[in-house]
Amino acid sequence: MINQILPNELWEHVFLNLDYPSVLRCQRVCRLFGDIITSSAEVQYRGELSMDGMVDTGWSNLPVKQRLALLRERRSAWDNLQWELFPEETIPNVYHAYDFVDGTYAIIRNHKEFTAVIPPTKTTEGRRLTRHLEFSARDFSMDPTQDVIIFLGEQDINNPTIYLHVRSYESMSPHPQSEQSRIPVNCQERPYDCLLQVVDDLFALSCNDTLETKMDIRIWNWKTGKLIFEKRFADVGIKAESFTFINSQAFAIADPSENGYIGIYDLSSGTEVSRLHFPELADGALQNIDADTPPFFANPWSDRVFMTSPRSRIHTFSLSYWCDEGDLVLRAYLKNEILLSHATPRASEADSLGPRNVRWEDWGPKNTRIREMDPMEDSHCFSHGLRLVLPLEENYKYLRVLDFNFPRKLADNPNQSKSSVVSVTSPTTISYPSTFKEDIVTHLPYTMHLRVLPTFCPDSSDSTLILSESHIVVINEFDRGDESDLCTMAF
Amino acid sequence: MAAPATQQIKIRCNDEKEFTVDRDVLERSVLIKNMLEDVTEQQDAPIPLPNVSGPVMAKVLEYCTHHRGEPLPSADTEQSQDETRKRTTDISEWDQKFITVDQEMLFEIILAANYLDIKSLLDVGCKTVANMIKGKTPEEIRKLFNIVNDFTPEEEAQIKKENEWAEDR
Repeated sequence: MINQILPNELWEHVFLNLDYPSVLRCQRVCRLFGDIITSSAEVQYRGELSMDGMVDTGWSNLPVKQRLALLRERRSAWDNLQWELFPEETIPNVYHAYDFVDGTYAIIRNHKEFTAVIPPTKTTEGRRLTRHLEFSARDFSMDPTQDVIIFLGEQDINNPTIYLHVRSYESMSPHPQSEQSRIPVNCQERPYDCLLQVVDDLFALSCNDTLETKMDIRIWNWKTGKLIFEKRFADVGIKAESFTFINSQAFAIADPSENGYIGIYDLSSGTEVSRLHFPELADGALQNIDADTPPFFANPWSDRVFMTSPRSRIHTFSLSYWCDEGDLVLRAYLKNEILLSHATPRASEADSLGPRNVRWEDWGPKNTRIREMDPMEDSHCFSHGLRLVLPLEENYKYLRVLDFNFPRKLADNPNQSKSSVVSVTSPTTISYPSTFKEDIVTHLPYTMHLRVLPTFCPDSSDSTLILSESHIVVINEFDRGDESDLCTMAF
Repeated sequence: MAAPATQQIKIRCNDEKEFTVDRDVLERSVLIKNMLEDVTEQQDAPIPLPNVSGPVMAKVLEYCTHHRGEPLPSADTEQSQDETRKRTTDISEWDQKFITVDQEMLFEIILAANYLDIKSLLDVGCKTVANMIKGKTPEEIRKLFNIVNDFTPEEEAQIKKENEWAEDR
């Protein structure tokens, strides 16, 4: 046979090690390659997984052909926003803290009542988890794939020590893998705003004091209870929300001073290795930067065939400016890989030189997409992997999902009257000549998916929209005292 | 009864070249391992390997000697959790150096690893070929492997059109 250098199954093995665009180019090399590629469910499945930013969990026994079919079904549902709508549920209003992880909406009320609303999927029923905590908690963060939830306890007026509680998410008893399930933190100054974030074996607590002049970052290993990093930022206007993990080896802190920059820290050396600067200001002032990232999952979900790859992660930085035109909020979306590429530690002798400074022109325009936002909008941005949902705007009837998996082949849309998709590859230009020295032009491509909102959703910016791997959840906080409506759309 | 680690086994390649090798080195090959398990008595005649030539076998043995004692991947564990964390297209430094050979030898090694059932070596070989292909145009790939383009220009244009969305990376 022509072009038979290796047996077909060995070429298949080669193609399985290629990224999908390379596989597609191979398809054009010769008939033999084309036939091997199009007839191999395994090659198609691996390729389309990477195109969708997914990985196989390794837990499923389904034949590859069926997994491929499920993957395509899923892509079509997301591309065309073909959701299955579940009946509305009533949930208690949030008084103290909430978190949203993989579709599960979890809240603490009255400091001790923990409720998690686990939404239904196309194949499983929804359920609720209600637990009474034996301590008072003001915030928490969780990773259900490790069955871990970490609570930040309330501070006693007379005691500067706050406790962190490492618990099992299912049982709420001390986590079996933690050597120290109650970790003390000495806070001489009463923390005002706090943020908890779990990634793999680590978790971080970032806190502001009441006047927001100081920000403390502390990072522990929750299994050993050991503090592995601690730093105080004083008088620079960094807020608790400007912290985000990049992975379990690196984190970022957005600093609004000067023109604003993302400081990237490497945990192995405990030093700041790079600063990615934001566009240069002319006359405006950068007031604040909030960072937001999808939740981290350490393990593959055992009940799923595939899941969002830990490498697929869109970070959102919300930059609030004061300028002549009034308040201006810019939202910068960027992929985890750009932060990771600047997270490599320096050789130790270079430490004294301080972090590498990377000018906006050298990293930003190509690797980010900056959109202007309504300053009234909730600064939280709900994302999962490389996909996020935009907040609702007043009198705007469309639900909008941005997908930064790119390049990608969009699924056919059988129902164009309901939804539409736009590939956005042309740059976005933001022009405020009195604020910025130059126009901000950004290029990171994405697809925008739109669909008219279900009728029950009031066109109100009071609704919170949340997106996970297989859900969009709308929470409507009505002026009804204790309760909110929660509505689930499953994909 | 487990054989002593020092047991020596003789093999004969298709060019009559013979090797005498420690049993545990040879057992990196699942094919040979199974053969040896079937043979209960001490055998003096060399094991014939009709699909492998002497020079290729020398290379394969170099690999097996370096990796002796490492656990063999079992069919169940290879795919699962690690893969979701990092899909490894990276090759260890030693393997990288080892597999830096001319193209003919590379394909011979892959074929031998496949025949002898040495999964890790097969993987290293296929990944190396994949790395050669990555980022290249179809024409460059043809040139690289001396492949004849047997598509009509229309057919090629059609496939190109279907895959257009991925071309700008």
